[in-house]
Amino acid sequence: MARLLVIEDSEELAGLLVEGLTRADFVADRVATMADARDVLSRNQYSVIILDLGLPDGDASVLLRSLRAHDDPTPILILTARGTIRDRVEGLSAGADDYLVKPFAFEALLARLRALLRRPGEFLGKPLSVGNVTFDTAARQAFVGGVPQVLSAREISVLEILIRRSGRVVQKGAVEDQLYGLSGDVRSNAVEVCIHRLRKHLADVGATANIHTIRGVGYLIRENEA
Amino acid sequence: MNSHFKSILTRIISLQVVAFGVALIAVLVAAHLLLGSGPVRFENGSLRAHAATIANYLTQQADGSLRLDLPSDPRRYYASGLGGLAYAVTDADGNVLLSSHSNQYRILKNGPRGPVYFQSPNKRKSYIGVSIPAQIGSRQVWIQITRNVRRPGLVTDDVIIHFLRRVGWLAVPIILFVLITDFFVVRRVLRPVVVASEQAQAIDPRRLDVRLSTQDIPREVQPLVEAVNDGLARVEHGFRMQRNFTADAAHELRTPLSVLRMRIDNLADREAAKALRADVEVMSHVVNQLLEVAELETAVVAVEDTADLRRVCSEVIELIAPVALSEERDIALTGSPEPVWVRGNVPMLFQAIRNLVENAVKYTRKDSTVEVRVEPQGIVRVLDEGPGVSDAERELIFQRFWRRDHTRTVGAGLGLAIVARVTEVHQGSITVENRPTGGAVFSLDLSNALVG
Repeated sequence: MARLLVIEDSEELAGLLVEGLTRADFVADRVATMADARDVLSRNQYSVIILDLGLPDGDASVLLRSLRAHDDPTPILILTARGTIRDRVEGLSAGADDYLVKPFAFEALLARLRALLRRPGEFLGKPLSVGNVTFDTAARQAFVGGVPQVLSAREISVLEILIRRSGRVVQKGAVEDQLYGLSGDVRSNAVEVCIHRLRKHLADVGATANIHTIRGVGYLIRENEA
Repeated sequence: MNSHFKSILTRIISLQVVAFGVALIAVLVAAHLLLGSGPVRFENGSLRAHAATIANYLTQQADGSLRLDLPSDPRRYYASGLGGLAYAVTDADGNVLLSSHSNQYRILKNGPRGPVYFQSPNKRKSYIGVSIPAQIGSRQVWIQITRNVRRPGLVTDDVIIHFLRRVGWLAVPIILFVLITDFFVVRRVLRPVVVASEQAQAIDPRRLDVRLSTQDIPREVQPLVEAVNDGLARVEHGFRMQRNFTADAAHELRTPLSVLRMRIDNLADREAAKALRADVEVMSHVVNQLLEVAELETAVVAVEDTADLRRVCSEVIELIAPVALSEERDIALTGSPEPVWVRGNVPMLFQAIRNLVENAVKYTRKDSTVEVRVEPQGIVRVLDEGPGVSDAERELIFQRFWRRDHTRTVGAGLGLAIVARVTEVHQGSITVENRPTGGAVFSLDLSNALVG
């Protein structure tokens, strides 16, 4: 059970956050000022800090920098009203791990928190799915509608990288890197050929997810519209 | 003068050259007047003295004739040629009684009267002379002295010619020295002004606290520097006000929206929550656009900011493609396969291109493709297959709060205004045209900002 620290000066929002986080099985402490935050942080260890930048006793990026200056590795998620792009860049360069602009979907916050909490090893062994296509990352085995699929090693690799980021675009360069590593043996149309085969295979076996080509950019796998 | 002499240095030096010229002419004229009349007076005095000497040594003999016993010293003056001097003693009728020359040299043909100075009217044999009366014993005589001006020993012209040849030429190195000194003096005096200019050049909207140094600034330039500093203070104040407003407004608007959003997420009624969430999305979108517009008011592109247009477009497409696919529209990136670098701010350009692409996705027909074309000369074109833009709308669509359909409540009509503002900040241009095959092409031309 992960313990979180919410540093947020808006009473209402902080209350709702703590309430929501508790419901999502987190333990959340809440402070409203940087002074209180320093005090609490000196006595407790937190898994993630959720930090509002605009606090009554100043700009919380000061706190962020001082934590990082003292080699505190606690993941920090900035939650702020300051959505300007400049703020975003400054926040991340000050040492924040992620940045969420208000207003935000609570689900998005939870997803970001889980990503920050996730240890690298936790990726392995968790089955990923999109539509009726599932992928067992431990066994490197794809299923469509629960039926194991016979795919080439290249097709498996491509499917894995796409399904790990399902619903989002994977750059063509990233797919090439996945296929060939650093060997550099990339024929210009090798990725296209592999994607084409994979797409055909998924269609043939009645998959409800499809691989889309975003010409000039990359590929993404997503569930077909109903 | 202003058009030819831009720098203070050239102005001072050129004015000084003119001043020197005027002074030189004045000195020459004055010298001519002074020295020209001086020697003449001196010469006349000298001639009179010679006449007086002659008169001194004239005596009347017992027979009434005149006799001149010049001592050897004055006699030398009348020896042949020396000093070009000659004398003659005449009676009242002009008859020569005595002469420095044996041939009874007549100086003046018509008997002269009174003390008189004269110059020969004859240019070839020019001389100057004096004729004065003298009473020697019982005789009234005229003593005439002449000097041949062709002979050396005359001071007048010599002085002027020497002045020109020696002193006059001396003026040239003096003038040159003064002008060269000017160059260094002016440079030294203006050094603080140059320093202030360099400081002014370093002023950047991100460093508005810079002020020009008034130290060592010449008093004449000080009011200008102070006025610039006052102006900077006002600009800084304005910028801070605007930025603080943007930050405060963001906080005041977004925090309540977050609370609202969280409350909606906690609602038991899933259907109602879904509708309310959509409303919050719309409000958040409008707030975001308003804040972006406010932020762009004070936005600038830093000198060192560079952006790869191809990469920015690729990232925009990565962001929007999933949404577009959900709405059964496709997006493609075409054009230069190589990076296209421009001087530009990545986040701002991202926002502008994102707005263009979102707009295109919104208007392009179902199952069509929005094409984002990056051209190597620094132009991004977004092509859709929608209804196109009528001539009447072509300018209007880039204005704030303009919406094609006012009955639609989605959006604030700020998307393209933001594009226009970002374009302006980058000194580019944004135009829209209709495609021959239908649909619109938005062209964001940043070719002026192309790097390399």
